[in-house]
Amino acid sequence: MLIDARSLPPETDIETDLCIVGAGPAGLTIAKRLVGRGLRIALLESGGPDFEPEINLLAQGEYTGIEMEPLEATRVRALGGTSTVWEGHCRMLDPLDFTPRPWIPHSGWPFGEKEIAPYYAEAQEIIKLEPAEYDIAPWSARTNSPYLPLDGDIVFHRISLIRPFNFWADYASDLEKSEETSIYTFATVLRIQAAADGQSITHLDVGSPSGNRISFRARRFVVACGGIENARLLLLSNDIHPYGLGNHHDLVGRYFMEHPRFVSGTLLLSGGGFPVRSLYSEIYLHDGLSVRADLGIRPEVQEREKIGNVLGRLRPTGREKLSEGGEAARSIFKDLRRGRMPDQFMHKLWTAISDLDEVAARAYQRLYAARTERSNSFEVHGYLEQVPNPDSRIVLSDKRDAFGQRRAHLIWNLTDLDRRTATRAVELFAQAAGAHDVGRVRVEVASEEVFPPGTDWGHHHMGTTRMDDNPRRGVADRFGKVHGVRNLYVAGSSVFPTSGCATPTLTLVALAARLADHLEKTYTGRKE
Amino acid sequence: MRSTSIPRRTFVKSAALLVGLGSAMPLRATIAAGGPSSLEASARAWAHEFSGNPGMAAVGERCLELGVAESDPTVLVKELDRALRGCTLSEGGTEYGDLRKSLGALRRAEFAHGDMVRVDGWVLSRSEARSYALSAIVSARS
Repeated sequence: MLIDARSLPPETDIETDLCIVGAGPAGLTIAKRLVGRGLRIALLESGGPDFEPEINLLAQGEYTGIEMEPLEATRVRALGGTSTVWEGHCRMLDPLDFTPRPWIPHSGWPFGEKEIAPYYAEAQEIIKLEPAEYDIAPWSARTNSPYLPLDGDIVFHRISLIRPFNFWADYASDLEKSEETSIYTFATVLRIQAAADGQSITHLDVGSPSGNRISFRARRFVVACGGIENARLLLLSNDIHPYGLGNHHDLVGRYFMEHPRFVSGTLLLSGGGFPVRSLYSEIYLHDGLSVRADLGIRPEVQEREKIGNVLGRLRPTGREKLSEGGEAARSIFKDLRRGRMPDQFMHKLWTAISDLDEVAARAYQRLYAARTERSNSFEVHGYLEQVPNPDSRIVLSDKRDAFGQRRAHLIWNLTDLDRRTATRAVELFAQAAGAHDVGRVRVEVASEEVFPPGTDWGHHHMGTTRMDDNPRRGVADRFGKVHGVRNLYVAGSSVFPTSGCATPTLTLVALAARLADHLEKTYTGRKE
Repeated sequence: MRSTSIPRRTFVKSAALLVGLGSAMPLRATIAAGGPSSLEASARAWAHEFSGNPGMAAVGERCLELGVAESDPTVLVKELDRALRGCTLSEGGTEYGDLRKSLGALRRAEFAHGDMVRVDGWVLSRSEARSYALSAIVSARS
């Protein structure tokens, strides 16, 4: 059942069994998995069915440290959350990412890869990643695409499966049909209200743009509104615990991690041209599914070199940058092929039409010429694991949003280890290219200049409510239960203790499925 | 000596030549391992091969400027011979065609062991850089 919170009477009081904050991939996965299990569920979404710029301004914030896009431009408040706009890249974390690494402070998860493996399988099914194959050779055979012989002691190929899966579009019918599930749109949680003893949550204070206030009472609460907002909401809920919920040890908001991406080198091939359209530049398979090959550094080499994890992406060079019209046409084509309506469709269409010569030339290039086009060099892009850093953090700003709530302030800092990983990784790619006679690499990253112009970010916000069974080292336990609060859970990438170099969605969906399992198994029906 | 960095085109030409993949080498010289006379023979072989390759010479100049290769040609020849012998060359003479193979194996081995230098950002194997440097010296003298 879909309910617009703006239409509810003022001062409404709602009681349910489980209250989930945020209808993005994590919140929706938990709700979907618990449908039909005898639980009444209230799913609260700050936005509506579609993207609304004014609502999204609630996600505005400030930042210091590394410059990035405005915070609200990296998140979506709407049913489906950021899955309504994401690129769809899916990869599992590496086994090493779960392991404590002595050379990386604060590394290690409270459980190993075996614990999450069945949930990864489930997440792959949810996102319809078929076949869930991550070796290069079968994909090369399947797509009739060659790959560079770089695999060896230093480097190996990684496979990403890509499907821009819209969680709301896929889950909507099941959730809307469910009599026990109520989905509230335009319902912004303003405060998580703790009981007087601070050890449990009694209700959520929720506001809607119409000005009414709703109180949601539940046995259990799950906060799943993203790597920035999860921390912000815990910090805002500070009337009983003056420093915010789960923040006895000043950990909420700390360890913010991203995936910095930058051009780290140029690979010049020694064996002549390589097809421009290949696994390195993404091959479309069917039904919205694509595949791409990247490079990784062997775990034993990471250990020997004492660096973080990193992914190397190869992009053929020498292709001209698209004009504005060409870019608009490409964006429309990409979205339509993925079965979704392009955002700003009319604007993009007009931009493409007014640049028709360029668009036609590019279309010809893509349809005919590109099939045989070859390139003798690649840009090497580094996608970095940002290692956990307590000084990289979310705090509350003094500026306020439309509800009078303090905004998030991101203080984003990297460490010397991140800088070392960035430079050493491209040297290792160069080493592998030389050792296998693939070519020579020019290193573009100087140690003092990790983030050259053109640096991009993954828009992956992680780590701000990290998991650790020890409350002195983590905000939440291994399932996401907030330490010191009996009935409050966090879900999403904010619980990641380390970020790896894999895009986070597949992992956060796996963790959400695991949390749903845990909630079901431990639910007693009694007040907690 | 120029102090500018290596233009990409220059590097492409010289790298393709030295890496030798697909490029035909006209010379078929014979060198012998061991003793001073073999060193002279090696030097002659290198000198003959490396003269008249401006691309390699340009990269070699940068190698010399940056100090990533020795500036004394005798030392360069000695080091290249020593590295080659240590890598694959057997006792006795060998054809230049084999020498090319051996150079390839040497470069691969050096990369695999991380014996590399950086020249204007380009990551080269140590012997590769020495080869370029020798080319620069030979070209300057011819």
